[in-house]
Amino acid sequence: MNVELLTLSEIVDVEGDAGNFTIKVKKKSRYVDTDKCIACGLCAEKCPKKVDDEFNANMGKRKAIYIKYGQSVPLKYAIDPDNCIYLTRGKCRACEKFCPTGAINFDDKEEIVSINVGAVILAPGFKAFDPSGLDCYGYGIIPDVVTSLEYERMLSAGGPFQGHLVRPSDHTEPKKIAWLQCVGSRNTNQCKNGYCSNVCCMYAIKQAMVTSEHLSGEGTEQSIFYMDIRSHGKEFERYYENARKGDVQFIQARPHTIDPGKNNNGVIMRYTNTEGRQIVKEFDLAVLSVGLEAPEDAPQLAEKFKIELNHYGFAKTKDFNPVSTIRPGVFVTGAFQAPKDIPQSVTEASTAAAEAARILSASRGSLTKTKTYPPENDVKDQVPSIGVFICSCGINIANTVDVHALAEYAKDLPYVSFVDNNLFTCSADTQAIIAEKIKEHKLNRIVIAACTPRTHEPLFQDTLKEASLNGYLVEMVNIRNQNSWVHQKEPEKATQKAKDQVWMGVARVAKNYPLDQISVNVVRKALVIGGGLAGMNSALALADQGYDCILIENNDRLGGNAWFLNHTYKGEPIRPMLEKIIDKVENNEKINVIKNAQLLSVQGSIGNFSSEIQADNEKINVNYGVAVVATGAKESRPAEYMYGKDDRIMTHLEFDAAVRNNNNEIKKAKSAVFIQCVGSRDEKRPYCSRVCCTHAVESAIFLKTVNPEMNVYILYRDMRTYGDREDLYKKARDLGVLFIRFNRNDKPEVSIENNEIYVKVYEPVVQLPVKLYADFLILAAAIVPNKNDELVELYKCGVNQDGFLNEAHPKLKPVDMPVDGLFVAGMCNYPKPVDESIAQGLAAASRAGVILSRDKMKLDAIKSMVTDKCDGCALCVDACPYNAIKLEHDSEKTGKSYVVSDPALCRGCGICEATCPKGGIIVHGFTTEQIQAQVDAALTNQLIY
Amino acid sequence: MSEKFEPTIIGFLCNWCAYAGADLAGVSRLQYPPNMRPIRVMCSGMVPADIVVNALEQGADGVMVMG
Amino acid sequence: MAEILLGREKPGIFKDKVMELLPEGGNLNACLTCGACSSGCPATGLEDMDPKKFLRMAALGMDEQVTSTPWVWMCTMCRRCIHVCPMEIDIPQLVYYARQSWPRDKRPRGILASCDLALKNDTCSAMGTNEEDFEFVVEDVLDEYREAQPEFAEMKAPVNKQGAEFFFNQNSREPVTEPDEMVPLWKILHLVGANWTYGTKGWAAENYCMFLADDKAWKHIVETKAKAVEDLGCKVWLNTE
Repeated sequence: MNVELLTLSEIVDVEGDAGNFTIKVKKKSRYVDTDKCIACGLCAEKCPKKVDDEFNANMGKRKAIYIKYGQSVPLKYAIDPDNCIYLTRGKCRACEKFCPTGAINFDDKEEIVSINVGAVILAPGFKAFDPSGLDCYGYGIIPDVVTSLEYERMLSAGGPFQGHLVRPSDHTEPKKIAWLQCVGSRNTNQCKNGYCSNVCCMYAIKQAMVTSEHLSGEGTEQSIFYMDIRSHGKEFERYYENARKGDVQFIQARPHTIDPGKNNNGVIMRYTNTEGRQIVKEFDLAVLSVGLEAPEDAPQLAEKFKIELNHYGFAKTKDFNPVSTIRPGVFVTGAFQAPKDIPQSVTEASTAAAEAARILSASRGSLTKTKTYPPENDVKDQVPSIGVFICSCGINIANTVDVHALAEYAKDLPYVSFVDNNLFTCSADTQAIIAEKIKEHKLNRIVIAACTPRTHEPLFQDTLKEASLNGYLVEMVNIRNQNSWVHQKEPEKATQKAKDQVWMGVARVAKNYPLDQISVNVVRKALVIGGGLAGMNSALALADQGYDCILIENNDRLGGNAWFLNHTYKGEPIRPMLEKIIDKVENNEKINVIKNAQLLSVQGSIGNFSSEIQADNEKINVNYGVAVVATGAKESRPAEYMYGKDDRIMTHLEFDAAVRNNNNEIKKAKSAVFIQCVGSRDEKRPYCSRVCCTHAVESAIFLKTVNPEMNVYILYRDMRTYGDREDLYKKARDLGVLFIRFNRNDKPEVSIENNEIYVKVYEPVVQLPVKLYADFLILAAAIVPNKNDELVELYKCGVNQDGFLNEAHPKLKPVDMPVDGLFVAGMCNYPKPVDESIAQGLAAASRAGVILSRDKMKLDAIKSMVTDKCDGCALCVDACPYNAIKLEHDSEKTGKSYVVSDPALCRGCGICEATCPKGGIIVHGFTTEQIQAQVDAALTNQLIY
Repeated sequence: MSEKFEPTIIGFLCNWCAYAGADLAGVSRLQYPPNMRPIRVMCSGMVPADIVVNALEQGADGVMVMG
Repeated sequence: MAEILLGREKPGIFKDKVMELLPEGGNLNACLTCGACSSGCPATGLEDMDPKKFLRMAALGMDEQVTSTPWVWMCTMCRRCIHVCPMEIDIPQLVYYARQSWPRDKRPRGILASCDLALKNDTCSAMGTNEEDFEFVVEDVLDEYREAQPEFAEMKAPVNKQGAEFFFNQNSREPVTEPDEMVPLWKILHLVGANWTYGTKGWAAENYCMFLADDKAWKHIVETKAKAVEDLGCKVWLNTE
């Protein structure tokens, strides 16, 4: 309701400044009235014009009237004017004739609309690299060479081959598939993309793993040809390891050319193995892992908004302001800023929202719309009077299911007082009819036999509410997605199934009772735990939105790890920025900083937490609605490579300190050796510490800059300078830093001979052992999380196997924690550099702001409830995955034990219900009785009341 | 002529995964036999064992708990 | 081979010297060791060497091996390596300078002899064919074909035709060992009506002095041929090599 979508639109002109932009937008014609279109698909079915489907990488066909893909928002058809027969040749109008709702409008005119906004977020995404120009891979010439995006569609159940994996040349199932990494990335010869595209290693591994699931039988093989595997995200390294241990072969090599196979089926490639031998190998299919480029219209967009682009054409930002442009009020997010994966993109979407919320905080809520409903009729004790509305969904349902027979059948079901069949039950006019019939026939329960409740239940709940009925008195029966669409060839059996489904729905809804959404008061204050860069930025963003914050830090100063770092990867000095931020935080009247603080207790749940905090010599009680957890991580103490035996063997942070202290020995050194993955990516810590490769490369560049004669060696397993950090890797090589790859099973050996440090390593290209003299040995010690045991215990939140705090969902909710009202930011979630920590800190503030912006919040009514049958056996307490159930003891009155369920924590999963042997706890809307009624209806055709 | 055996199957589908998957199967027009009677639940863990047993007792030929 | 000791001293200087000679240093430091070069190199595996390894040895300062491996003479200078190299590293140039570091008389006899023969007279023929012999062979073959194939009775193979459009080079193996091999090209040129000529000077297409990495001799050969083209006033110099 508060998001207005302008689709098929482009920016024409931008005027004004932060807080008051006027933006002219050209809205192209859709030729379909979105208010009338109900996405039945009849138009597309009747449209005679077939067009290559760009969403399916042109491997399938769509019509000239189409929706781009099933998950489109809004789910409304559009006419492609370049291909529409009527719009190009003046005849046809088939869609118009067949559209049951009259939604087609060929008179639709392009228009310029002017919108007034306070802030702008640019998220135009990326363009996939087009490998057509590369002569060596034969893309576009050899049929069985496809891009990774095409392959993604080929694997998809909704793709051109319905998920049955076949190769383009002869439509047979490919058994041997090769992926070629870095096509259009890390390459300044065949393209100008010197950066790493950040996501291709992981998507290739994913595709290979999914392929394993698709292919069966003997002789299948997935091979990934790579330069460095970059699995630097959370849980990525584990995924990579699983793939390695499983069916996927990782070949560190780059084939030179792809040649067509026999009869133009499949491909032939030649590559050199690690022993320097050429191998000629045939594959059934080659997938080019294409990189991400800035969108084509980025320069025009940049010009209109007067923002800067970097040398690769991506939006230019600073590490300390990761989504801000040089134009105040204009923010960027997603892959437009740099190639990035979904977790990072989703996180930074919230970062941009936080920045926008900052400048708009004064006018927050001024344009917000809310809906009001008439008072509810109390129908709880009334005998059920059920209305059944059967949807034809155009012909989507009616073509397979005999809806008239279904309606006749429904009329005879118990308690049913009204049955109707509608062409489109979801259309606006049918909503009005339903409301009318509710009043006319005094209906108090409604069954909608149509599509899926997952998309449409809110709509019908709304209709009921507008008709003064409780929204939970409706039951949707899914006779489309789970019936007519999947039994198209068996109409009789489908109709029988639909009858049973309606019967089940009637049986169930008869047992529905009104439910109230729980409303909780929100304490509009945030607790931020941890005063590093992530926590401080979070607190500042919350304060700027107008919310009070309590920032607790267990140290005696704010700043965390940032004190130990010299500059960001883009070269921004950290110390001055850090001091500025600390100053801002300490002088912000909305932020209450408590140092040397320890969280002692946590009570309550989302909207209303209370805690006791130990600070120096006093205990402080605080109330807050949300908490941002930013407890950080730290550099570990290495347990190998003779660390601790000699001062010249140090970690990255120790080396940085030596640089800050102007240690002269460093500049005079003849040789410096770096060893990577010290305590990372091993059995004990099977994760990548993400920051060390860039750190080592930066330090190496520093050394080569102060003393070009110095011999600098970096011993590594895979260089993981993702995104445009790759520029630093290139710069280091250009300066003469020598990178030597080592194998995890053949690690470098450090020795001290006559007070001189030596590192022995096997050089894999010349295949000889190399002994390196080192004046300094710098170890990339793993980043480990700070201890979170107490916090996890207090909040009942979780950590992953490596001890990093979990997010609710890695992609969909990367900043929310599994416990409602808690948000995570910075390195406690996973090792990350300054820019990403700040981005997540800001994102957490944005997500927290969603809750703090209201003084009351509503929760879903599908919650567990303890009944009087509970005898306190507590079986359910441990079964609850959300820690929502507690055991209590009434020592004063009854002396009995019983459980209490906290509705704010409960997610309504009902494991308690299934666990309880006595019916002592139920879930509203999904009681055992209701489920049993459905089973009975399905099997006995006889309701037991 | 013998009639083909048509089993009656009760399916419990978790709202968040199996039910969504069944919806997607519909969107993708994947065809499967019409013998299952779907029941949406908020979690496959909420299906009491009693109901499963009861369904079989009442004549269900199979019960699928999907989640 | 024993382990390589690095770090204390400045490593080998060969690679740095080559880098000074090349624009952008030939990007020789930029190697990602991806191996695309070796995957496509026709000489990979010969002498236990490949382009990636060769460059790596140079980077590690293994000058002795780099400047002594006979592998450099197996490189065909086809440039397939640099074509696909993501960093556009000029491995062919590194190979070239490695060849140059060989004493001239130690370089492969076949290439050396061919270069020396080409230097002997202005035909630049690596077979040592002189001007008269070349002219005779061309006329002889032409006559034979004009007679045997009446449809080509009008075909010409001009020699030293002043002001012709195209100055045509000829691999010098053909007039000596496979004279018939010259004819198909003549036919094409005849059928398209090209205004072309051979020159008695500078007609030989090949340049073994380049492969020998003998800069001075290479330059001499190129200059001799260029002069021949200019002397005949031809506009286009067509080299079939």
